[in-house]
Amino acid sequence: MEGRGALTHSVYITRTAVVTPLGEGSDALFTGLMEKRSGIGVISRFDTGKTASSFAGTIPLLDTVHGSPRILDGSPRILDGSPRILDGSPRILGLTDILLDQLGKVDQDTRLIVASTKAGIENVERGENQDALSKGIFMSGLTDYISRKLKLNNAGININAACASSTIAIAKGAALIRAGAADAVLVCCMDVVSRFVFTGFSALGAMSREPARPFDRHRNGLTLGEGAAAVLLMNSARTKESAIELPVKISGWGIAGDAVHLTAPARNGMGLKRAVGAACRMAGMDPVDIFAVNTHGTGTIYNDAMELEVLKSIFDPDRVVANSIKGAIGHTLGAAGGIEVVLCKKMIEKGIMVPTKGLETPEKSAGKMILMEPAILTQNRILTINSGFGGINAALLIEGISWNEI
Amino acid sequence: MKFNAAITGLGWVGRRSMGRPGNIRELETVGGLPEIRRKDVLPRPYKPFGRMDRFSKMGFAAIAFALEDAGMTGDSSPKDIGLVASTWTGCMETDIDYWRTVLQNAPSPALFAYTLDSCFLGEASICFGLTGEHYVINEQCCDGRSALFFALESLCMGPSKAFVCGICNSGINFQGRTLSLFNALGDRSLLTAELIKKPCREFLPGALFFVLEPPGEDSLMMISADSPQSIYDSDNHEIDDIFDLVIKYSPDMGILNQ
Repeated sequence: MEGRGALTHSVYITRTAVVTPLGEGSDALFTGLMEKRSGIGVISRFDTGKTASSFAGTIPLLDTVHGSPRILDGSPRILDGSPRILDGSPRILGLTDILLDQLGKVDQDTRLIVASTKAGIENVERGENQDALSKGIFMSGLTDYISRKLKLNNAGININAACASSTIAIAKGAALIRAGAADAVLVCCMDVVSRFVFTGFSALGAMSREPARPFDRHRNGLTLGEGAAAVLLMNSARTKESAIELPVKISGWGIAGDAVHLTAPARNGMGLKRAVGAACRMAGMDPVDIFAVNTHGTGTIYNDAMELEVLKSIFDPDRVVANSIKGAIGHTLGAAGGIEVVLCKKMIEKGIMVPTKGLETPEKSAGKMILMEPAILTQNRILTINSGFGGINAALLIEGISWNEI
Repeated sequence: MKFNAAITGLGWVGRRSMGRPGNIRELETVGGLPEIRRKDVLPRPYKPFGRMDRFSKMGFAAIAFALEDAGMTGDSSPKDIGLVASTWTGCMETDIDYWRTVLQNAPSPALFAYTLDSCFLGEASICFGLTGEHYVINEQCCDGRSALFFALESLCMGPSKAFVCGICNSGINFQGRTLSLFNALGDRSLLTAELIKKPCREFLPGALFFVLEPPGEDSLMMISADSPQSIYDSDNHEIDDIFDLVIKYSPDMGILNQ
């Protein structure tokens, strides 16, 4: 039992929403991954003739409606009294609308944390930088948009930490609740496939010509993707009061830097090891007691090698199983960690770890750790990890609970 | 839960000056952002500095000055120190520079690498061996209070020994207004109470960072917080803006009581 005066508060995930190239909702994501379907295809929204790849994980609806005014599927699924319209506005707002429609209403005092790396960049592409404030070119335009849509009493903030953005955003939301500074925090994570980012990763030589193959011996880069996730966090009092579905608990989190290289991970994974160590310490357990890990698994040579090094060295390689979903939906950048947290909640509910799409010939050092087929979860906890540019790493430990444990 | 820390360092870069208390240097500003040379910031050669974009150089330099003020710039050996920055504009100018290269059919990987708002924190972490957490907070009212709160929370609850936190904004010209409080730092005649009260988005361009450490017996300046909206100084006065702390922390800059 916790009250306002408790030293620290437990943090629960009470509701989620998710949109990925595999469909809307966590069931669509889970089922698609279980069936090893791919949401990756040839991109049509811009010319890829001069880029290293023509593949991306995109959401077809965002291409269908972009640029032409219409009400999505004719049904005014609404939050604020107005129909959902994409009248040539940025895809990121269309994606946000789909996400918030799925999420539904939240309490007005819910604190908002958004996680996106390049929201608003589509406006730069259109050259709409002359009146940046009114065009919502800045990240804060997105937080403001979400806050107004949900009628929240706070403007919200965006956490930007490259590909670890949403993992860190969820950790910071959890920190607010743990400290008693908020009873509920909504974390909304999203990024879209833009020409800006696509050409950039191509120029860096980080993209795979074919759809990404995480942890495969023949992997040669990442595939970009787009998506969004919403994760509603609550303390125990608010959870008891308003949670409808059985929540999961965030029992630990950790964030650490490599301080080695701007665009490449530390080969020995020291930053990620420290992030995992911190998450486990907070939860009062040792990494060897964790048997399921949702990895970042981008499909680049160095990221996957680094994660394998971490998996081998701090977990029990004979017991731990791990997966990556980026071979199925692509690397959704700032949304990646959030989507994976939603998936972790679903995998805990189902008691199953989904397999790694695209993995055919596992890296030698992977042993049997990386799942090529679904596996039964032997515990009701999953560690999820992400890393990003600037050498930043983050880990979240998600645990299944029963109602009477809250 | 209330979190406490001592302020042990301050550094900034504005349009006209940069440095730390007791060591203020004048600047030439070209376009929106000030021109900063490596030797203005670091005593030793450091190759990556030259390839950074101007937004990153600005944030990096302010962090370097703050660490110098706190006596923490000795070497690049690993130190469990975290970094957090609030920004409204982010690296907008770099985004536009990169996009121009795309339109010229020659996307620049060197520029693209700096089109994340958090890159300068990564650069600072590498140069100074800061292995704590680092991330940027984008917010419309970039008053620095969110960054202060999360730094305090992490310092008190996490493994970090110290935290560098502050704000960093580029110099996009909004409706013809670029005059900023950063202009005034180091030039007392420009800093007025009226200017301080203006919305934070007028504090452009510039970067301002503090170093926070656990409180000690000899700590001169303390801050405390129990939420991002409730941050207090040593005298238990509520802080509306990170600039309130500059005035409290650094009377030797001659900007106290103006």
